[in-house]
Amino acid sequence: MALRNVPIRRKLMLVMLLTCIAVMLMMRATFFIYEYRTFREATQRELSTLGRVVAANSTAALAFENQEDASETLSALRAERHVTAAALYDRDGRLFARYPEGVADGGLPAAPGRDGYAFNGATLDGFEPVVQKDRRLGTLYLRVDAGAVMHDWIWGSLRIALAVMGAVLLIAYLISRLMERQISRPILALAETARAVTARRDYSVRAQKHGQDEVGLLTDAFNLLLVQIHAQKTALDEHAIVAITNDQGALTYVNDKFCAISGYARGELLGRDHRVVNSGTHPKEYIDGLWKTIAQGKVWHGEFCNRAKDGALYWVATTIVPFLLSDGRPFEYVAICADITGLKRAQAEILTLNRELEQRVFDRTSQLEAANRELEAFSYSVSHDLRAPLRHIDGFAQLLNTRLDGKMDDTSRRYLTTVTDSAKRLGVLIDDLLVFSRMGRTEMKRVEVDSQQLIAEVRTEFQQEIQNRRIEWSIDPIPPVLGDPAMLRQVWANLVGNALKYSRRRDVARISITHRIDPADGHVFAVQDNGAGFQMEYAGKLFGVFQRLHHANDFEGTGIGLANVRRIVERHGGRVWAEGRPDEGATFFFSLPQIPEYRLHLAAAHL
Amino acid sequence: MNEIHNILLAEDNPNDVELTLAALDTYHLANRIVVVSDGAEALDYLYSRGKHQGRTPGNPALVLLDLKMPKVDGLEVLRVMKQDASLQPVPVVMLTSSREEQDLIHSYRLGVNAYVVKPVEFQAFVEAVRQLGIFWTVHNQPPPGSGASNPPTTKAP
Repeated sequence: MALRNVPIRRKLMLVMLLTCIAVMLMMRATFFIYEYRTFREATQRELSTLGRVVAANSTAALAFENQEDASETLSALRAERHVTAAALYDRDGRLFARYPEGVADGGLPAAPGRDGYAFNGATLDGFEPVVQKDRRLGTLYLRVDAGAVMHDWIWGSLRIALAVMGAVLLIAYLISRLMERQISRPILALAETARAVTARRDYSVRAQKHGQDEVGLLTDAFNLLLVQIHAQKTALDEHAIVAITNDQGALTYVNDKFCAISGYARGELLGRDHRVVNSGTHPKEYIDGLWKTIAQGKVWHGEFCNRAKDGALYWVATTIVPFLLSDGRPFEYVAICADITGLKRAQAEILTLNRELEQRVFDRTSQLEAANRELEAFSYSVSHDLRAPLRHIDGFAQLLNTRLDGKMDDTSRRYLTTVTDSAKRLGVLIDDLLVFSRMGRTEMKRVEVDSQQLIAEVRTEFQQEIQNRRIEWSIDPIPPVLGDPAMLRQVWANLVGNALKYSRRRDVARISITHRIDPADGHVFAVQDNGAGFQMEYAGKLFGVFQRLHHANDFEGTGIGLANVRRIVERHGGRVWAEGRPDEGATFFFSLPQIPEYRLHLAAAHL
Repeated sequence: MNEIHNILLAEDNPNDVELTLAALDTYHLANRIVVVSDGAEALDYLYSRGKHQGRTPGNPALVLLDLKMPKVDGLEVLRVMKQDASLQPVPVVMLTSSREEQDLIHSYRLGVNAYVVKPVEFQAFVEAVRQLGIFWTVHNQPPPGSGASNPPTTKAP
């Protein structure tokens, strides 16, 4: 088992025991070195004491050169188990006595060495002088088997060390058991709480705190985390319908709102899948698309119409978030939904209202169309019935004139002429009125119109009329606009015609046509002249039908031209206005909505 | 002068009838005109029935129709004529006050041969009617089988 997978309490115990063993070994080793040295010194000291005693006992035997006594004395060394050999040398260094009896000459030094004791490999050798009243009688030799002595000593020492270590380890084990409870129990409790939270999704439980140490801090942090999650979950539950399903689609969790809106008890829902609230509203492809999305680990947003237990339908705006395993496969889907039934109902109401509104618009349009048809019938009868009597007036006046020719006085002839002129004038008025009425009704085209070209054409038309006049023209470059070419041509014809007409009493007529872009009005065109002009207080009357500011004797006209201009411009979505001063000239403006260049091309392409 | 009247004028307004006759009279064409006061009578004449039963047989060389007439209007008379194989070849000219586009479209769709708006001015009116009469009865070659056809030498003033 790898060390990282060993439970913490075992790890703790292991650490403790290993630490103890290491400390003990270190201590033991140090102590052993010290003891060893002490032991050697003590052994040396002991041997020298023994040497002095044996030497003292051997003085008589040496003095009297009694070998038997000497051997007797040496043999007493038998009691000293570690003394393996001993010998006595006489004053001249000759071997006098030996121990044990059978030791060979080669096993002993041939002659006594220097007085003193020294370790010599595995043995401790010593030479002790045998002295009597300051007279040296000879030398005692002792040999001790140091290895055996050591062996005994080490074994004794080791036994003690092992016993102590055993006791220490036992104590350490007991302490570690106690400590382990202190450390690993709170961690295990924490883990248990975490498991419970995950399993039951109950974020209201709290881990119990055992102290202020690191585990205590961890517990605090864990509990704080739970508080935050609980708060967020509470907030979410307050707002949303939440359901969690496993990877098979079975419900594993539903919140109170889910139960409330669906009308099912929690027990009726858990373990079943979302089909329990299926309303059959959505096509199979819709559901399939959803599964495809979330099975790939992607978030799905959409709307659902569900059926509650009581059969009522409700709408939810849903977000489904897949929770993924480390290999990317989803193991759980969290669906968070908002009740949008009211919204849907409002939407449906808006749609209904819209339909009603459309119907109303349709009805109103039909009424308008009917009114328009009536107006057409009216203008038809004007065209037909009003003109007939006029023709009769003129016709019979002519016949009368022919019949009375030569028999009439001047006054009678003037009366007859006036009758004829008036009839003609009424005819022109009727024709103009018909044109005006038609202008409001005829279908309007919307194509790209080259105003520059229109103005040039209009000027050519007036060429005949103005060939004997001096006129200074000033015409701005004018961009193309979107509109009905025939109608716009009539606008230019009217405005240019007016400018020419009212400036004809000037020696030099100055007519300028300008263009500018206005942020509010779009294209703004102006036709300015230095002609008769008008008083600004009557400016509003200029564009009315049959409204004139000049007498027909001064400037001819029926008063329908500018009314036509206004009608055309307004049908194009623009407006008309004028500025002027009597005898100084007038400026007539009209605007057309500006359409962005690309839309102009687009519109032209579609027409 | 040939006995056969070969212009049929359908016009409900007596003033217009009088002016038209006055215009044609200037060129001595008036006596070749049969005047009917509405569309129904125009059809009676064309089919020789009712008031016109037993008239001299044969189709007129030209029919001048007003658009708006009581009972049966000009467009209806035109429609009947152009759907009848025997009347279909007879030239029909609308002579009317209306210059309404719808009337023009309708008339031409039904197969009218010409459409003339009566000018308000008398002189212009006289000229228009005169040209019509001369063109259709003198210059124009009527379809074969027209009982009213006349050799050109017999009509001139």
